[in-house]
Amino acid sequence: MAIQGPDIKVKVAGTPVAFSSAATASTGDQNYALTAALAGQPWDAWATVSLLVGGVATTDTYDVNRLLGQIEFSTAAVRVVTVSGSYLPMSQAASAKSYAYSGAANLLPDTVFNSSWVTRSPGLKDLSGTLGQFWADRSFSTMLGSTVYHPTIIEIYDDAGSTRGHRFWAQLGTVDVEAALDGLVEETVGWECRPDADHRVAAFST
Amino acid sequence: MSVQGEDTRVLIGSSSATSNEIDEINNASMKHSGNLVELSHFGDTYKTRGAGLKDVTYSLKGFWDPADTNGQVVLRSAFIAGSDLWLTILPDGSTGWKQQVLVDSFDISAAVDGYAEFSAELAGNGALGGST
Repeated sequence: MAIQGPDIKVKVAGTPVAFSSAATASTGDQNYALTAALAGQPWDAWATVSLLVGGVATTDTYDVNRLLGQIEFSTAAVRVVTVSGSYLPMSQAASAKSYAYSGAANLLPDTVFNSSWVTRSPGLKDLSGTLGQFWADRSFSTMLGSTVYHPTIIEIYDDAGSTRGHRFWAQLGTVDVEAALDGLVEETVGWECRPDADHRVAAFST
Repeated sequence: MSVQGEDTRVLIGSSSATSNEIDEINNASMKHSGNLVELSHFGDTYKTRGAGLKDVTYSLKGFWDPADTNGQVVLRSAFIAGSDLWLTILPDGSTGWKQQVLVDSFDISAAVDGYAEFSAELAGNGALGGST
């Protein structure tokens, strides 16, 4: 079913906040996520993430999924996992009014002799987008010039009732502010994807 | 007899044996290209050409529907995985073409005064076949 514009919500990550030995809970599979106030918060793109299982270092194989803020073990087991790292508090972009994101596969022709039809292979993938809003403050301009947001997260909810949106590691590339005599001041933020320390660029909610 | 656009069906599958209708599409186009090679030479008074590598590209547009897990979401997932899909376009709803494709790009956008929109560009990855 088509989604009406007014039902959409966009969140943007704030400044990283450190947490230490935070409790986690299994999400019903081999993944463990933070609980209580930290539940569902993404983690910083680069900050060190360390964990203990039963209070000691683990030899179990695991991945850190920073976009979803969870530890993903390769095998199932009952564990008591605590994590230390930095999370990114997400807050709604209250003045947002439009968004767009694009994926490009940059397909590479690989046609060989004795072919009559073009064949291709996927090339280097890319994600980029824009966020349009009524200008409210200098926060995006500050983010563009700061080394703290390297990158930040832009989260797009298909509807306001969703528990989680599509999350992108977004390196801000442009911030355009435009004012006209007969209109409201508007701002357009352009971003391009930048993989985090674990090589992820996006987490889609569907 | 002319064919009304509303009769058009667009289907996608992860193998040649599977195909599910893509929901909420309202515009589909396919472009055949013969990539003609000019063969004109001294003494010609008109251009001459030969057939080159044949190619087909596709453009799909419509309203973004994240609940269409067998259609639009499959396109986005294939882009992420770099995996091939099989696209079927049936202009009259029953007769058309089927081809192995790769997703070249996808775009999703929304504005507060409209509905979220979806578009994707696909490129053929081998021979075009008929589909009935």
